[in-house]
Formats: sequence, structure tokens, C-alpha cells
Amino acid sequence: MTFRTKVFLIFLITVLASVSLVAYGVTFYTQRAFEQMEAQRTHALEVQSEKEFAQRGEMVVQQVENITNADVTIRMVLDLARPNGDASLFLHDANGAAQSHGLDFVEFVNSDGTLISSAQYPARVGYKNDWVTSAKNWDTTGAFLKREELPDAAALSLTAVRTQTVGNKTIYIIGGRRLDQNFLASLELPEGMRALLYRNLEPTFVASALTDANGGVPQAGTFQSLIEQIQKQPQDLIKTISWNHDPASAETFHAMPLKGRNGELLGVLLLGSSAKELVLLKREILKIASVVSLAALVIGLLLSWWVSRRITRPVVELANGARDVASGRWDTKIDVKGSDEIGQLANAFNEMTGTLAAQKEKLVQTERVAAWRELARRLAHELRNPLFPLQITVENLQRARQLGPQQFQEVFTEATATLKAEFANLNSIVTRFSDFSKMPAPEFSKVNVNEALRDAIRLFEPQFTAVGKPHIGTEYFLSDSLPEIDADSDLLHKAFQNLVLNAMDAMPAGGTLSLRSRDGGETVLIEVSDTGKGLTPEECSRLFTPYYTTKQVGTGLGLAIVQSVVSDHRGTISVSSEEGHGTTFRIELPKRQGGTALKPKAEAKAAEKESERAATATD
Amino acid sequence: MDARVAVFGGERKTGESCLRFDDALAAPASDQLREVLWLALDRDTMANVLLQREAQPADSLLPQWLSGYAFLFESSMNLQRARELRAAFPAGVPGATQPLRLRVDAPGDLFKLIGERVAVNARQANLLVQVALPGNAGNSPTPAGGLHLFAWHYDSLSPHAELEAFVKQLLDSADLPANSADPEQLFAQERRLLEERRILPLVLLPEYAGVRANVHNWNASPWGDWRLADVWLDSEDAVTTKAPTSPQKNSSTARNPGARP
Repeated sequence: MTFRTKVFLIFLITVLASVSLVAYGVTFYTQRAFEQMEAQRTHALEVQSEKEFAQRGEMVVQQVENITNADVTIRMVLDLARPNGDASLFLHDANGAAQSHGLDFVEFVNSDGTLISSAQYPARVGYKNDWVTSAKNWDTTGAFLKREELPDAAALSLTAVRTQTVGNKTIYIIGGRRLDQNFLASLELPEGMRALLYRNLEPTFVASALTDANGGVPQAGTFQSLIEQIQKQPQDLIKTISWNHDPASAETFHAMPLKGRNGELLGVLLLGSSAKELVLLKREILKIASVVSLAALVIGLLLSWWVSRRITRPVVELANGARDVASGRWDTKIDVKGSDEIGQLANAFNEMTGTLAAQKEKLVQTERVAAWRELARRLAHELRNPLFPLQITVENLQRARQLGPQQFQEVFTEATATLKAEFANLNSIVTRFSDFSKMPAPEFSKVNVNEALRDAIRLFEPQFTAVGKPHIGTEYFLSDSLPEIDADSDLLHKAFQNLVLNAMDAMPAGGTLSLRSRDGGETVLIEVSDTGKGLTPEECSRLFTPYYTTKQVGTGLGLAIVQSVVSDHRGTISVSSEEGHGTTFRIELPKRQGGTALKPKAEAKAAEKESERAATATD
Repeated sequence: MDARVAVFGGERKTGESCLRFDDALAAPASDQLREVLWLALDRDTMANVLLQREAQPADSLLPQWLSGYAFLFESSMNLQRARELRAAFPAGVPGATQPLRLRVDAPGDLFKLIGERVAVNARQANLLVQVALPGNAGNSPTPAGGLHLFAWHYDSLSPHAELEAFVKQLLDSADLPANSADPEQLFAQERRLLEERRILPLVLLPEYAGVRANVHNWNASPWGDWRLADVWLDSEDAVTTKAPTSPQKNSSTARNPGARP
């Protein structure tokens, strides 16, 4: 991944992350604000319902007090206060009082607790209501929730009790209003909220006991677990109910237990708040966030592309410049303007390449001078050896003119032989230098590396075992599965010969020459090792320099030729040595020479000869 | 069973409100159930409080004025005993967990009130009884067995004839008493019927008749027969200002047609 791509992605991710963070933050804080608003609405509704309860209770108390203070009631007390007062005469009075005072439930109870009259359950007249007589201070007690027994079922009522006393006679007046859907309808609910009432009049959950302002509640069974939980432990509970798979259908219910005078659970008021608004709001925010994110994505893409391009352009130029330097163009200059860090880096780069170019030039000149000096030294050394015998021979010939003809003839004959030999020697030296300067281009064909190695050894085997010479043993560690490679067999043979010669020179007292080959995947690996005296690190570093030699005799071209051949085969050569333990040359040659047409060796030779003839004709 | 009421006005109670158990109630649970309800019924309160002393508690099928031996049947209420028997009910008996339906086979709020009172009495003995009015009978699910509240009108001055009518109308023909006017035999027959608890008498009721103001010279016999020969009417205009009267106690009698169940 390029630097530009990375910068681009970083910018893009930063933009997207920022937008996502903002969208999340907006959603989160909006939801929290909405929930707080919902909580406030629910609390307000709780307060309202409590006020409604209190208000209705006050109304009930007032209506019961009206009945209590009515003339009919006072006359009833007076009649009952008489000896043998007949309570049965007032059987229907409660019904009349209920109708005239707008109450659902009215009962008159005698001082002993006997029910005198009941509007809601006349059949119970004559029975005792002990709970009325067991309590005191009814006249100062407010309304309370009560389970009201009816002929067909039980009901929930908001009830108040008052007493009327005339003389020594006291009766209790019990009045109440049914707590049902009408109570719920009187609550002013904000939009999205509703109130439900569960009348807890049976020991187990009864779906029909749940009502809302319109009557029965569909899917009332859904509330069973919530109601049962409150039945077990009467306390405020909050539960969210999803009516279908759509989250907008969910409602959060705040359930409040309604307790009677003795703390018994008589009902549960459920204030439901629809999640529809919240869900729709969240969807709207999500929609806006998606659009904004998409726009941010597009803008971010363009902006990131522009910024990354602007930022990375000098870096790319620097990279290209560095690549050019690596490829050898040391005088590369980059054109980066600006005085920021990148500009400073570019200037430093340009200064560096300038310095490098100058130093390279110096180094080349130095090396060139050194090479010429080495060449001159080597040439002087090589040429001096034959020149000295030539000079002696010529001087002998000059002195021989003083001798007799026979003696001169002997000297002359010997001198001419010597001169011929030394001239041949000079010619040999010149030829070697000439050959090195004219190293031919390789002609590739299929070559068996193992066979080439064996051929190279085979030439020198007589010398390894010659009498009077130190014995040199050979070891082969050649891979049988080594494939043929694309190579010039003559050049390869020459290179191997030079390596073997070098090894022989390194082992003047004899030793072991080891040859190894193995498959390196795309390459073949060849090692030539000797057990000679080894080389110093400095010698190793200069070993492949032309005309450099550590020997008293030699042109210093052998290993240079080896390196030239390996290099022409697009291979590598390295040397490792330890003083006193020998030296190992490692050659790695590619199996295939891509893009170079293979020629049969015969054709290659013919082509070479033809080329030489053409050159001669031209000369 | 189809029971109807005939209500007469006057001191003499010429009708009776009774409970009859449905034959579908299987024995022996039915025997215990009938006994519990028999012991739980508070006839005195029904007569004196609910019916404001206009009725009399009925401990027998035939009233005292008809049979002459009704005083021998004592009041049966024993709530404590009823609860004890109820506590020994085997599981699954109607009235324990499933309400026993009490069908009111007589019109009017009076019988509804009596029915509800029976339900209250039953509840005191821990029996669940659900009152079903004639108009609502079809709405509620029909329990396995039930009770019928009906009114009986005494048409005859013969105790034997009345008892025979009871048995014929309400019980199997095999239970018909012997054709005898012997009071002892009648007493034995009635006692046997009462001890079976298949019919539980509740209260003796008066019959009321409402007579508009334009009806003149209305005289009923002591036994409730109408003597229409001397009755005459004013014109309609004369009575428009006299609204229909409330039922007049002790002033006249009327017969509710089809009083026989």
C-alpha cells in the first residue's frame, strides 16, 4: 500500500469516524433527552393521577357527608333509635341515596355493624360489616380504595365512611364510586401516553380485570408477568412491552400499585408511554446521519484525495529520487518547493546526491588511478621477468663478438633460443591481457553443471597425483537431481578452471578440493572449497579486482574472469575464508536466462568464427 | 323445569318461593350439597329484612293455614354445621371451585333479590352460587348442575291436592302420596319430601294486585277468587289524573296467570 493510499485512507477514516461520532453523539444525547422528557411526562402523569385520586376522594367524601347530613338519613337514625326500631323499613334507602347523590355504592350500616340498606348488593342486607365498626374516627378519614362485593362480581371503589349520630344512636354511611374506565377517561393524557387500570380482585391474573379508558385491553395477557410481579411484591415497576416486531410499537409502562386501607393490593395503575415518537426520531436522526455520512464520505473522498495528493507529492518525488539514486543515477535532483520539513528534506536530499556524485567521481578517479597503477605494476612485473633475460642475452651476444666463431655460434644459438622463449613469454603475457579485455558474450545452451565441474577437475587430475608434487584429493557433493541450466559451457568451463587453479595455488602443500552443487529453486548453487591457508578479510574484499593477486606469479585476472563469467550469466559469486582453514567460493546461477534465445553450441561456435572472419576482413 | 309465581295480597300467604335442585346433580355429592344449602339458608332474614316482614319464613311445603301441621317443621338454619359439611366435600363437587348456577325462574326484582340472598347464604357456607336471571340465562356457560328458584301458588284448599300437585309437577310420579286425607299420612309424606332436600322452601309470599282508581266495587274472596260481577269502571278521562297506583296491600287480590310450574 502506497504512502498516498495510507494518507488517503487515514483522512477518509478520520472524516467518517468524526461524522459517525457526531451522529452517535446526537443520537445518544437526543435519546437521553427524550427519555428524560418521557420520565418527566410519566412523573407528571403520576402526580396528575394522584391528584385525580385525591380530588375524587374529596368528592366522594363530600357526597357521603351530604348523604350523612340529609334529612332522610337523620330521620332513619331517629327511627332506629326508637325501641323496636324496624331496620327493614329502610331497605331501599341506600339505592335512593346513591341515585340522588351520584354515587355508585351506598350502604347504611347499623351501630352493631348490621347492614341496613345496600344500593349495590341488597341481598346482603342483614349481614354485618364488622370492618366498619372496628375502626374509629371515620369522620376524619379520607377516601380509600376498597374491594366492593357485588352480586355478580367484585368491583374496585373509592370509598368514604361517615357516621351520623342522633342521641345515642349511630349509623355508618358508606359511599363510594366505582374505579373503572371512567376514572381513566378523566385523566388528561399527553399524546403517545395511555393509562390502564388493573383491578386486583382475584388471587390470580384475570385479563378482563385490565381496562383502559375505552374498556377492555387487547392482548391483556401480555401484562400478566408484570401484574404477577407486582402481586408478589407491590412496588413501582417499569417494563417495556413490544407489541410486534416493529420497535415503534413498543410501550414503556410505569406500573404503580394501588393499595387499600390496610395496605392490601387492590389495583395497579399502568401509565404507558409509546416508544413510537422516540423510534421515529431515532429513525429520522439515522436517516439524516446517513445522508450526512454519505455526503461526508463523498466530500471526505475528494478532500482526502486532494490532501493526500498534496502532502505525498514531495514524498513521492523523494521516493522516486531515492529510487534513481539506488539505480545508479547519483546526480538525481528533485524539484520540491517550500520551506517546511518536506522542503528541507528535499534540499538535504539534493545536497546528499550532489555530494554522493562528487564523491563517486572522486572514487572512480581514485579507483581508476589505482587500477592503472596496479596494471602498471603488474605489467612492469610481468614484463620485467622476460626483459631481464633478454637484456642478459643481448649483453652476452655483444660480449660473444670477442669470441671465436665456434664459441660465438654456440652463444648465438643459445641466445637466440633464449630470446625466442622470452619473446614467447612476452607474447603470452600480452595475449592474456588481450583475452581478458575481449571476454566474449555468453552463448547460452543447456549445460549440465555437475558435468562441467567434473570436466574442469579432469584436466588437473594428473597434476593432483603427479609424483614429486603435493597430493591434492578431491571430494564431490553433487546433487543428482540438478537440472540442466542455461549457460555458456565454454565460459563456465573457463570459470571453473580458474577456480580449480586458484584452489591448487592456495594448497602448495597439498590438501582437499571439494566440489558441491545443489538445487536452490530458481537457481543452482555451486561451491568450490579448498583446505589451503585461507585469506584475510581485506584480501577477500579485493579478491575480484582485476590484476589483483596475492601470488608471486599470476596476472590477477583469474578470479576477475570468474566474476565476469558469473556476472554475464546474471549470477552472483561470493567468497568466505578463514585463515588457516581454507577458502570457499559460492556461485549462484539462475536456471533460466529469461529473454535470451538458446543456441546450440555448434551454431554458437560457427557464429563466433563467422564473426571473427568478418572482423578480419574488415581490418 | 318451568316454575311461575302467583302473588296475592293479604295476610294469608298464598304463594311460596322454593328452590329445586336440578336432577342432573349426581349423588352422593348432590346429597351433601343439598344438605349444606338447606342448613345455610337464612329464611328469617329473607322474610323479615329483604321482604320487609311482608313474607313468612317457610319451613314446609304447605303453609300452616293449609295443612295445619306446618308448625311441626322447625327452622333448619345451622351455618356452623353447613360449613363443616362443606369442608368435607370431595374435590370436584359443583359449588366448590365452579359456581353452582341458580336460575331464577320467576320474573321481577323480588325473585332476583331472593336469588341473590340465596347466593349470599351459600357463600357464607363457602358454596359458590351464581345467579342467572331469565333474560341472561343463555349468556353464561351452563354448569354441570344447578338450582332453580321458582314460585308456587296454592290454588286449592286441599292439602292433599296441593302436595299431590307438588309431587306431580316437581318430582317423580312414583313419589306420589297415597290418595288419603289423613293428616298424619300427609305429614309423613311431606316430611319425607323435605328430608330428601330436593325442594327447599324459602318464604311464603303474599300476592299483590294493582287496581287503578277507575275500578270500582272490587271484592276478592278470602281465597283469592275474583268476583267480577259487581265490578264497574269509570271513564278513562276520569282517571287520567290518577296515575297507576302502587301495589295495594290487603286491598285486593289478583291472580298471576299460569302460576303452576
